[in-house]
Amino acid sequence: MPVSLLAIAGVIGLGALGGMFGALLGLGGGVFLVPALTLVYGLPFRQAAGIGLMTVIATSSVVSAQRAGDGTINLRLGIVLEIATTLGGLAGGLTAQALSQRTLRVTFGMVAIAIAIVMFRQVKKRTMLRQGYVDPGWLGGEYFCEEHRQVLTYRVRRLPLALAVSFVAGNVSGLLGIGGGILKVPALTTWCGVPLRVAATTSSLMIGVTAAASAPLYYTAGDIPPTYAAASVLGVMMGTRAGFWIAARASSQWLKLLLGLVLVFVALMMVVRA
Amino acid sequence: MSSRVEVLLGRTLGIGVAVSTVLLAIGLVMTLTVGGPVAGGLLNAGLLVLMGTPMTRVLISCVEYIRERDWFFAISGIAVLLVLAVTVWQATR
Repeated sequence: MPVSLLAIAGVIGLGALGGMFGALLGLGGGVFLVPALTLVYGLPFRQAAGIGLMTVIATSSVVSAQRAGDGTINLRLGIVLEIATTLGGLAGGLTAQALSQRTLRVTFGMVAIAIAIVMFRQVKKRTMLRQGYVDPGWLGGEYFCEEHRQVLTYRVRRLPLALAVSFVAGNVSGLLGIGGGILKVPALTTWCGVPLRVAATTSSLMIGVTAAASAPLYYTAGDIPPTYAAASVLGVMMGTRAGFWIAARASSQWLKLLLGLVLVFVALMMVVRA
Repeated sequence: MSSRVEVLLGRTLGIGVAVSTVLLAIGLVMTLTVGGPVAGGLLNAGLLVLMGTPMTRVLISCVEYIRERDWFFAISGIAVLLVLAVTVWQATR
């Protein structure tokens, strides 16, 4: 397949945009990249998803490498939930090989709508206040909260629920090539008592190995075209840097609103095309 | 697990993604200019290193939990590695 310089530059650009939004909003970026690759570039959905998974692994590794050591990643909770997310990823990856392009597009549309709803609801949300000492238990932990200038302890509640949500998130990730963090983080914070910052960083650690549990299936099936995948990953690497830079300087409220709207549009496009 | 281990895991991820970025960048430039099997090889090597990076991270944390005799989390880590092994087995079948 001849690949033109212009096409490659375009994919790098798409990757950079996805990576930037990802870093700004704590999304994997795949949720923007996958529809762009299939709608704009006309790649088969499975190839777009396969490329999406590679960018998720790259994003996860970069973000976690930067966060490691600051005490917000809960490694114990991470490894327990990863049993569920990788199982979900494996199942999703196997299922994706059997489903039609049309079904995958419709599924993507519905998931994108769900993510948009979560995003709209989060626009005004802040980390909840939790004062006093809490027994962290065997899965909980403590971290330094910059907002309150003190070390907060938390306890993980409803572990079976967290495992179930993690399995679903992994499944969606393996099926559609997105990270699935946006599905886990709200559940962990509202139902399981995990502080937002901890949930976000632990989730961004988990999505890497989750994607790695389905990416090999796409790879050996020939659904990860190397040139486009390389271009996307390189784009994402540049985009996340830009995203971190902007995130440190801007309020993300209006951005969440805007991107929620973009997601609704993307979802409708996917369903219409299917 | 101590923050020393957390830093070690972070470094593993950082090195993995850096190596794969370099391989992918050189491979991509070569594909667009000279082409040939070496270019393709570099691209594929870059993708494989990238996929292997989070797997290596889990392997290292597993080893650390075993060393600390923290059996619940050691077994959790082994379970994750088993799932990854099934993936690779299914992929190469």
